[in-house]
Amino acid sequence: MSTATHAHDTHGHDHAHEHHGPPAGFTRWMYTTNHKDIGTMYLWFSFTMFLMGGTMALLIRAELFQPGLQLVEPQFFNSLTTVHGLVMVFGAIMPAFVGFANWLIPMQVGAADMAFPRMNNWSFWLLIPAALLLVGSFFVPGGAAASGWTLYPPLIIQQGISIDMTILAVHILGASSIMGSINIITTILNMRAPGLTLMKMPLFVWTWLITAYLLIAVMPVLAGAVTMLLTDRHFGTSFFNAAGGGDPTMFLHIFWFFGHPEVYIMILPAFGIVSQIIPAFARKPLFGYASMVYATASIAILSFIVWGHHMFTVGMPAAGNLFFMYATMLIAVPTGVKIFNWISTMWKGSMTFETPMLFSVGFLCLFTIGGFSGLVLAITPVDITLHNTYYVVAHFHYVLVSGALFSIMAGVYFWLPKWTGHMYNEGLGKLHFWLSMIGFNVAFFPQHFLGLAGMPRRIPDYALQFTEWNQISTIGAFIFGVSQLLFLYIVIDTIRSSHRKAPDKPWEGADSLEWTHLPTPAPYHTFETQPVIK
Amino acid sequence: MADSHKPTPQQRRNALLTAGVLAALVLGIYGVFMLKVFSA
Repeated sequence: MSTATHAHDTHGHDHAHEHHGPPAGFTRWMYTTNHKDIGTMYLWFSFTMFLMGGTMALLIRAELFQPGLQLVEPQFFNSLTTVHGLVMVFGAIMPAFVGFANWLIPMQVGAADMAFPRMNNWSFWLLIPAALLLVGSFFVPGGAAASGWTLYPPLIIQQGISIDMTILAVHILGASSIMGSINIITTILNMRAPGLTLMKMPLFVWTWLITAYLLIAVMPVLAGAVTMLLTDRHFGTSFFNAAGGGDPTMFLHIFWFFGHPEVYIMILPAFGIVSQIIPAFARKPLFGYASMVYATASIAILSFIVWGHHMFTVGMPAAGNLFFMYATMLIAVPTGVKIFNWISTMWKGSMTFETPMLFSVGFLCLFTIGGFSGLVLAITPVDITLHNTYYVVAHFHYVLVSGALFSIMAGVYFWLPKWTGHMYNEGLGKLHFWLSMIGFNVAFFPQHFLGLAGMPRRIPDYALQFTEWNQISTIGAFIFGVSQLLFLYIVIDTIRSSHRKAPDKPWEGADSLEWTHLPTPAPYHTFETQPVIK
Repeated sequence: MADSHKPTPQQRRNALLTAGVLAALVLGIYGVFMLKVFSA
């Protein structure tokens, strides 16, 4: 890792005579071009959407507590599963990582701000109309989209105006992501401090650089797919309409060409966060830095040739199925490199287990389980049996909740002192971790059994023999859900707790620029002069 | 509160160039895709 030549002399926080702080009130947030303000807005937006998506998840689980229809109509249930997925993917996980990118990338590369601060402001504020369209679609005639987050035709062609709202929302979210990605790549490639070569960058910066390229490559494809949906609905085309000579399967190919890299868009920044935290708490440099970079790039490249594993049951030729099966299994190799590097980093380290480390170790254990269940699903004949069952639901929640979300939690606890200048309550943080860990596993591990026993996903009712595991799953989901309110309390308490001042470098082993080169909390404007890296 | 350093003119030029190439890439992918499907 890089070392900086300057100590805390370049941030200018003592220069009171040059007062140039943020404006007060709403205009600060509306017109801000400051990467920290925008990062903060992304993170709060993401948490708000997380609570909304989580409420939908709890409604789904409450309905599934017993067989039969209890709380919601089947159509509304389908809308809940659809919008829950869209909100969590596009509203919670992705914006959270963009929030981290905004806060950290300029500080970690020694830049003053993002390369295009005004475009950065735009990227954020586009999220608001998109979110309103998405969530507002519940209140229009016919209810919200009920096709699943994958927006499959022909169902998606047949529903009402909510689909147009969803399509517009996806377009806007895509535009936001593309602008954000251009900003991130441009910042990393052009605004680095002198001496900070690519192979000296923190892993978080590397993973975001690769993620941003993925976004640039696949977001236009998603935009194309939903444009085609729109023209099928309103302009007389029949791309996906068999009655007009089209083919719904084509949508699956296009969607998953976007959709599988999207999975890595949601997990590569998580790898970056964990790669910052584990060395800090093991008090050792990251094991195999270069191999981590190459593994990240390999995963990203391979993500473009595995989309067919989402559609083994559509009737592709055997050779196609075999190709996608083996290509998918190949991803286990670079992923394994990462897992073993994290374990090797911890090996013989002087480890302590504060909350960020607990979430990172939780990530490591549970993401590995999610990876293994992914390998199970990669086997074509097994997938043909398990396709569309709760096994798939269990698999991707192990990847996206205990993978992506746990890393976000870990990152928040890790950088909260840098952001706020205050330490969080360690006892409450650990309580939050254990409640999340227990609640998550109680909620999602039984879903493997339900799937193996044949329970289909996206149904509000089920056969009697599935009752017990569904009840356990629902109890776990509520434990997990309620424990996130504790997280909200901890964050607010940290912001307000001026008596718990954080030292400049609260984590002994942290070595990236924001810890070694800036005071805590990070000043509004960082790097009065650009640091030089040896 | 002091202001941050400003990017050098060279950094600004390179940033604009990088962003232009990336924007062209995005528009190219979307444009070729749309031309392909709508001209078929």
